[in-house]
Order: sequence, then structure tokens, then C-alpha cells
Amino acid sequence: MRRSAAPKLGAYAGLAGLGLLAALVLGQPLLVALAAPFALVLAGGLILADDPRLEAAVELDHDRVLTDDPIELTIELYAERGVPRLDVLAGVPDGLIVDQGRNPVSIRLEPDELQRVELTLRAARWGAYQLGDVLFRGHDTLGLFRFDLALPRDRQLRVFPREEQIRTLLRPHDTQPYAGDEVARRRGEGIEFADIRPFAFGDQMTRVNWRATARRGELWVNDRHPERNSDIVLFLDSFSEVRRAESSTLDLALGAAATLARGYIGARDRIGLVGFGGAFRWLQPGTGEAHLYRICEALLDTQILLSYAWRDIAVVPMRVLPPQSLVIAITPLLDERSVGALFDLRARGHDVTVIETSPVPYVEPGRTASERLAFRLWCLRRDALRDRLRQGGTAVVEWREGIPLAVGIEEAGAFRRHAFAGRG
Amino acid sequence: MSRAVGSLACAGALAAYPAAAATRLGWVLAAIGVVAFGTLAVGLGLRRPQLFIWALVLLGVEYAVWLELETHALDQRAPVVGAGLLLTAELAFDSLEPELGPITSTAVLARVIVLAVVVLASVGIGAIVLGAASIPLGGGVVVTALGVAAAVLALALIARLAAARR
Repeated sequence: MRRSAAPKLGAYAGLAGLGLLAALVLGQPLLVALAAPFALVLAGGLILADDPRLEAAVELDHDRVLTDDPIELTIELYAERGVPRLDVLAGVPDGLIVDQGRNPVSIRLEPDELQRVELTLRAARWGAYQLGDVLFRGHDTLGLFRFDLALPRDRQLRVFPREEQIRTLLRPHDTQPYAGDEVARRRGEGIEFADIRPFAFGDQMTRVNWRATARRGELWVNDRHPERNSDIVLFLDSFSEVRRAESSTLDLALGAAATLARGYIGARDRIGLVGFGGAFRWLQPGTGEAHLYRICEALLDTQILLSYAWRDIAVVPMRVLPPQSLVIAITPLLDERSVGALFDLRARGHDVTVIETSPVPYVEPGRTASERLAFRLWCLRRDALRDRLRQGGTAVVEWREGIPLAVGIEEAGAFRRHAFAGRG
Repeated sequence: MSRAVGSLACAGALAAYPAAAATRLGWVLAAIGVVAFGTLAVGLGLRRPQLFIWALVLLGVEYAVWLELETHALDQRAPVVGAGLLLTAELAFDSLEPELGPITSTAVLARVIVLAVVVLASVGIGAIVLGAASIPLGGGVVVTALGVAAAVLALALIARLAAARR
């Protein structure tokens, strides 16, 4: 531990010296009686002040949690010599809240005693956090010296956005050739009954529909829909966000992305990620728990970076947007570049659904009449943009904080059923 | 807060004692005492330890002036005054320490015991000084030289200890 002198040490030394000097100069021996106590404390403190040989360890019970999950931070302390007063300060980064326990805290450490300081933290917001240094300051018995120790920041905490429970997912218009949980539109080997047709060479006898055969006098067989997987691409717009206090459109978007990723991975679909913003990033479609973690890690690294560089869909590698995939765009529809990319995607024949993380609740309508008028015009322009997207066959749902994502999914699903029916 | 109030109370008593006991120029002593008390109060309010030192020096000056003005008789309460000065300083510096948690009765008791021991030891050492001062010596260069040597030795010892602890 690093030792340093408290302000008292210099003050007492000065007072003792001054008192002794004054006694000599004035010839007043009684002034020594005023200086002697300070000299006594100095001498006693200097003799008694020994390095307490403090040992400390910091433990986090989890290094990956969901938003609002409790996180136990335990600081174990041991000192060979007692410390009458030990101040402990754990550096807690912004975004983490101390729910239980005191930080900083002063404790008394007895010799050869293991003591624990426990803090319950809670992450109010997703993200990757690095816990700050843990600082210890011990005081000697007479308060003349301080002993400082700092444990460097080497604990990382990754907080993933909390997922919602959704019962249904948006299904793409077409499926992929690999086995999955989705009933394909085309016919083949599967479980779901599709239709009956006349027997053809090569058909298995187990597929013969004997009732239809008996009625028609020739062999008829059942056709079935195979179960296939689908490719989903999450298109995350990180060009801009609208924030108010602890909540923002990006927070909503990440929560939705994590929820959808979990849902589609659970349905054995392949899911990819395109982070379209100041920092462009992508993940090729994949499946499995490991891929889910890759997506979550990529989501944590998502941040709004101001950029004036023009980007369009041409920068997205083709393998990231497989044919017949469903592109679910999660966007506040604020940046022209992301809006243009959505139109471009649709024009290229991709099946696109837009979940709009609505910025409207984050914006004050204004106080003056002109401000309110501007707000209304802005809202109308947003409505017009949504209509333009819908006219192109893109499902657009406005999703706001406090409304379950499932509501938006159902709304988009209803639009898509209607659109597909119209398309025939 | 209680430590700051305790420190002020001690300082008030120390400032009042010479002024009350003075037979002449009591108002001068009272003025010095008031300035000392005010300096300490401001220091506690602003949390400036430098002002504590000035307040303690002023209290010492007030006492020294009183000793000079009086009949040079040995003041029997000098050890108590010394201990009072130390208690004032201890409480004032204690009040600077931030409150970082619930104050347990054990911690309070431990600090009270340390303060009591220090104050009692101060009274004891003050009594020894008082006893030594009451020894009738003729004075002269030799005694003065011895006094200087003792003072220098005491300060050197403290400096030596401090250097060894760095």
C-alpha cells in the first residue's frame, strides 16, 4: 500500500515546533505544556503507524447479465494488522446503479480477519461496462498517515437488452432449402397436408390416399408441405437516435433485435445482422446458440456515430442478404440514408418489414403555435413516408416504448397476409 | 457535525479561560480568543485545515500573552489547556473526514477510547512539564542551552521518525 501523510501530521509538527520555540524565546516553560501533547501524538503516531498489509480481491457474480438483473459485487478484504478505518470506493460506471449496499463505505478491519463488502448493482441500460478502479484508503490509529491501495479495472460486464416474450414471428414469403420449423409453400416430403394428385411413377405407396383412390377408381396420392427454415436479416439503423433520459429509440431497437434474434434462432432459422449507420457492420446469417451470442455481442457494440458519409445498400455484401430472406428493418425512420436503403432493398425484390421505433414520444410538440405546427407537419411527413413504404409492399409498424413488441409483430403480420393475398 | 461542535466548544472554553482569569487587559485576550474562535468556525465551515492551525496558534498566543501579563506564577491548569488544544485539533481534523457509512457504536467507542487515552496522556505529559518547570533553578546560559538542546532533540527525534516512516 502507498503511504502518505495526513494534513494533521504537518500541522502537529508545526504546532509542536512553534510551541517549543515560543517557550524558549519567551522563557515560558508552561508553553511546553501546550506543545508537548502535539509532540506526544506525533511520536506515538509515528511509532504505531505500520503498513496494514491489506489484501483485497474483487469478484462479480456474473459477467453477462440482462438489463435490470441484479449483479453482486463482492470485495474481500484481509489485513495482517488491523485498520481502524478503511474507506472503500468501488468505481461504478455510468449506467450501473447501486441498488443495495453503500458505496463508498467505511469499515473497521480487525487483524487477521476476512471481511466482505457486498454491493448489489443493477444495469439500467444495455452495454459493455468496465468496472472502475476499486480504491481503498486506510487510516492509522492516530490519523497521521493514510495507506492507499487501488485495484485496477479488470472486470468487464456485458449487459444484454432484456428480451420480450413473443408467441409468433413474422414468416418470410419463401423458405430456404434446409430443414426447419417453417411449413414451406411448395410441396414435398413433410408432415403438413397440402393437396391430393394422381399417382405418378416413383411415388411411395405410403402416400396413397385410399379414400380418394376408391372414389375415383385410380391411384391418388397426398401431397405435403415440407418443413424448411428461413433466412432473416435484422437491419439495424444506427445512423441516429432520439433520446430522453434513460430511454432512446436505439434502446428500443436493440431490445427488439435481441428478442427477434432469440425467437428466430429458437425456430432453427438462420439470422443475420446488418448494422447500418456511421459504423457499418454485418454478420452473415447463421443459426445456433453460438450465433445468437455473436449477434448479442454485435448489438452491444452498436452505437450512434455521427457520419456525413453517404451510404446505400450497395455497401452491404450480397452474401449477407440471401435471396428469399426476410429483412426486418428496425429504424426510427429519421435518416435519409437508411430510408433510401429500405426503398432500395424493396426495389431489389427483398421481402422487407419495417419496425419503426417511433421517435415521436421523445419529442416535445412545442409551446408556441408555430412549434406545434412544425411538430404536426413533421408527423404528417412521417405518415406520408410510411404510406410510401406500404405502397411499395413493405409492412411498416410504428412501435413505441411501453407497447409489447408482439403487438407490432401482429400488426406487421396482418399487413403481410393482406399484401400476399393481394399478390396472389 | 457533532465533532465540529465539540471542537468549537473546546476552543470556546480555551478562549474564555485566559480572558476570564486575566486581571488586566482582559479585553485584549478576549479579542484574540474571539478571533481564534471565529477562525476555527470559518475553517470548520469551509473545511480548510490551514485555518485550524491558525486558530490553534491564536489560542496558544492568547494563553502566552496571559502568562506574560500575569505574575509569572505557574498556572496549574496548563496541562489541561494543552490537552484541550489537542482535543480541539483532534475533533476539528476528525470533522473533515467524510461520513462513508453508518457510524457503528463500536467505531464510536474505539475513537472515544483513543481520544481519551491521548487526552489523558497529554495531561500527564503536561503535568510532567509543570513539575519540571516548578523545580527552582537559577537559570543562566547553561540551562537555556539545555532547553534549546532538548527542544531541538525533540524535534529532531520527530523528524527522524517521520523520515524512517516514509
